[in-house]
Amino acid sequence: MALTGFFLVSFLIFHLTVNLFLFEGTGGDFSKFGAFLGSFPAIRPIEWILFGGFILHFCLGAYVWLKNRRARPHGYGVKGTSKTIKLSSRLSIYTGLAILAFLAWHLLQFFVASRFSGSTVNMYELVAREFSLLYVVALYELFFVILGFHLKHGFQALFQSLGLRTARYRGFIDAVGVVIWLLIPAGFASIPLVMYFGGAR
Amino acid sequence: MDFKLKIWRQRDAADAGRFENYVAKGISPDASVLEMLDVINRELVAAGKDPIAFDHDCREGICGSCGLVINGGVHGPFEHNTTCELRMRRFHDGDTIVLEPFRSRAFPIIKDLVVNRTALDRIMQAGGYVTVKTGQAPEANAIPVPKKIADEAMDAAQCIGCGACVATCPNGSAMLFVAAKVSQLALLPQGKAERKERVIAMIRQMDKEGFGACSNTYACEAKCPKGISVEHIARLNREYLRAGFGSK
Ligand code: HEM
Ligand code: FES
Repeated sequence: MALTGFFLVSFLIFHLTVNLFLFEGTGGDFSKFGAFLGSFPAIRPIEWILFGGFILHFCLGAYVWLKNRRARPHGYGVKGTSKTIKLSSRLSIYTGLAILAFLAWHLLQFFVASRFSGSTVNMYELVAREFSLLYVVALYELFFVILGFHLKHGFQALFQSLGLRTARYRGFIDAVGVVIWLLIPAGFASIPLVMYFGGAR
Repeated sequence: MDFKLKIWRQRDAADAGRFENYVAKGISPDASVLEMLDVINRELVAAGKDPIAFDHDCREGICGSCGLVINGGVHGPFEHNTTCELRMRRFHDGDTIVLEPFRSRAFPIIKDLVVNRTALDRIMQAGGYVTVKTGQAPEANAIPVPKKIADEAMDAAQCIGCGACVATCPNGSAMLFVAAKVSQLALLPQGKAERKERVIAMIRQMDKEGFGACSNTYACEAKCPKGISVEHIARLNREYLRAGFGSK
């Protein structure tokens, strides 16, 4: 879970970096990047590795969730409270499923269009068209809240699982974690908002 | 002090079990939860009824035998104490107190509040030891250990094996227990020689017993009577990874 999670976080950072070029407007580097990546010879295997990463991460998560449900067949009569158990950790499986559902829709919107439509699509215009629709923008915003919640638990957990969250590094990891779970989703979330309210350029 | 009690009664492993209501009257504020149960049991026995079964031994927080879930909290609603150390003065007169057994697939109920925690013993048998020639204890200064390492090993060695970590973990995971036992040995020179085989064997046994997997909620650390840190779980993960990658 930790390794695939780390891989997916790296992808998110890369994806966000590329997406921020959308702010340059049409004819900017966003579409050039798309064209460059599309013509990059290793892009197909990299794509498969990425999809594999998503699927593996999901399968491992589902396995752990099922195993843990079986570990306590009879619950407690009085539900205890805990200072340390965060809602984000208990909801991980559900936020993860939501991300998967979003991903399917997201790929249909952009990836399938750019990859299988045959003709060359101007990716900037496609994105601008989608983000001129209020319901698309609203769903994306909702999704980024969910994504942030998923990362809030996931990022620090990844280092604990790899045995790196020692007393010495705990503070540092948690600080970087805040940057990751707040800034990455916020960065993504800014794009639909700016494009909807700022209009396409 | 007077209390209303709801206590889990279950004749044996096959019985479905249910909560039953009791009243405890005139309990000393300095009595522990277990001593309150002693009072109730004396009355039950006098009335010819079956006393409430519960585990206990040292009654001073060092043996790890006791363990009840009290008002939804493992070893009670407070932190860093065992059930036997929890005094009734920490409750209010007239409170309703709910007593339940530890719940985990790996800890089947034997009777009432007594659960079978031998799964933890089997994990220890799988690797929680050092293979050394028996004989006299060596001279203490023969093997120098840096103070910081010795302290960390001592912190891990505080584990009394009560199973509170399992009972409080939303996943019923025994990782804090295993982490404490692995850490205690892996940190010291005597334990280093077998660190690889040990961690693999203990993790394998832990999985076999039906404990859940750690999802890093850190609930265990908060309820461990000895306050054992989840930092030891990070070390356990590290030990397991290095064992898997073959480095000594
Ligand atoms: C404002 C937010 C986002 C925008 C505008 C956006 C835009 C795009 C676009 C235009 C593509 C198609 C690239 C191409 O093939 O030419 C794409 C691909 C993809 N996006 Fe996003 N994306 C966003 C957020 C996300 C998030 C949060 C995730 C992860 C959960 C994600 C996962 C993916 C994946 C897995 C691909 C396929 C990558 C590939 O193999 O080409 N995206 N995105
Ligand atoms: S009876 Fe020994 S720790 Fe409670």
